[in-house]
Amino acid sequence: MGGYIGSSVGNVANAAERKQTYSITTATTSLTGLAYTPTKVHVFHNGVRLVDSTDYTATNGTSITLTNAAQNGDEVVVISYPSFQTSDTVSAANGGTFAGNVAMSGTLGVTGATTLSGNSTVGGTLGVTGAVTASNGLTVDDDGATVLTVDRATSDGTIIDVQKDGTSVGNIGANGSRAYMSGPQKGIKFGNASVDPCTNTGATADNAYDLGGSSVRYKDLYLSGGAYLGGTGAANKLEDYEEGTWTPTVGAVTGQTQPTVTAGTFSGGYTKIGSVVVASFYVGPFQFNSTGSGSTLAIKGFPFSGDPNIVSTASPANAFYYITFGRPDFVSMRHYTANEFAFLSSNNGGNWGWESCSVAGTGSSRYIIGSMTYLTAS
Amino acid sequence: MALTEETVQDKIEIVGDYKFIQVRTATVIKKDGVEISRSFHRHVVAPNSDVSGESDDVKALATQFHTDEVKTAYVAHLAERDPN
Repeated sequence: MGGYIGSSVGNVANAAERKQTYSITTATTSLTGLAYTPTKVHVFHNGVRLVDSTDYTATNGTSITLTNAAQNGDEVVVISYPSFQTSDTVSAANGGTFAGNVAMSGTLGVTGATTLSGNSTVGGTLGVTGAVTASNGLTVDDDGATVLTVDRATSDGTIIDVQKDGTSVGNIGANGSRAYMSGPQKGIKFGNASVDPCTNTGATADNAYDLGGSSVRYKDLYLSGGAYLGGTGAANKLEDYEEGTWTPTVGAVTGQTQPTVTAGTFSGGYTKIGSVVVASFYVGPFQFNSTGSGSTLAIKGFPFSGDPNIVSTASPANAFYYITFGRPDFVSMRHYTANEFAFLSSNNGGNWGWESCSVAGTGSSRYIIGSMTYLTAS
Repeated sequence: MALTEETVQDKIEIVGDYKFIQVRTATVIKKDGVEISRSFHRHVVAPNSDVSGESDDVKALATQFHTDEVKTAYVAHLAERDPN
């Protein structure tokens, strides 16, 4: 084995070395452009190791000053080592702790458990094949895109289990091609054209659950269509309710000679429930002239057209003032046409006949006050 | 606070064989532009009614639906009214 000049191999730190070679062309004592740690550097002049502080000065980490100048044709080699101690390492075999930051440009593979006590930032996609537990809340945020996708893949059932103190109180899941939301027992399922009641597994539940309760009521219900009550047939559909006013008039039925009417402002109100119209009226005071006295007397201007296929006749829930009917035993009103109801009457056992405008005479301050319930086709 | 009132014919229906025109006039009360009240008034326009005081919409519908054929049938219908 040949001899050596300089430090023994055992004294050289076990680390990657940095080597820089200077081919001297002009006599110089200055070696620049270095990056070394003082005392962790070796300098070789034409293969001969120089002695630190005797043959050169290396104290600033970036340059070395030779005591004797290197001459043209000489070669100077500087070898340096990082400043670390072998004790400041993490054992690959036994593990350990990094006290500072760790940067890794390659892939980090971890087969055991991972605990991150500080914040973690993932700039790319985070893929987890096992379960994920977040014990301190979970915030998922995105802008202008789907924020969270949860996919149960091929089977029906719970996708999100909502728990209180470790016990399930509801869930969001999939049933067929529809999503549902449920409490412990009952829920709603979202279809293409309806929102349906369902069980806590999303199974359709027909005629089983209430909407609200006797002491837990919704306030108002707004429907642009109707409500099926007591059945699902067309006859069970209540599709209209309306309250309002109308302006009654008095005179002869349409198509007959009209009396001249001197009148104040009459008033009327109505309630429509489905096809049933309840219309009240206050007609008076009014006064006829003698024209059209033989025409059929009617209250006109009802708010809805009567159903022409149904003869609507009202019992005389009316009050008359200075009206003297020709057959006073039974006086009624009957749908005449459109929105006109004419007066007709009969004596006991006799035929019905229309009452004429003459029953009001030509005196002033006549009144007809009453109400009419009838069916409308609309 | 600004209260405004406006009336609008919010529903016009053509009903029955004689094409009666049912008109609903809504009175809408608004507070600062937000509707706070809506009430209704109704009237019916028959085939032989005077429509000179009706809205342009009702006049147009009367022209369209109250044809001579409809008016003739309506007059015949009136003549058939029998109390018994």
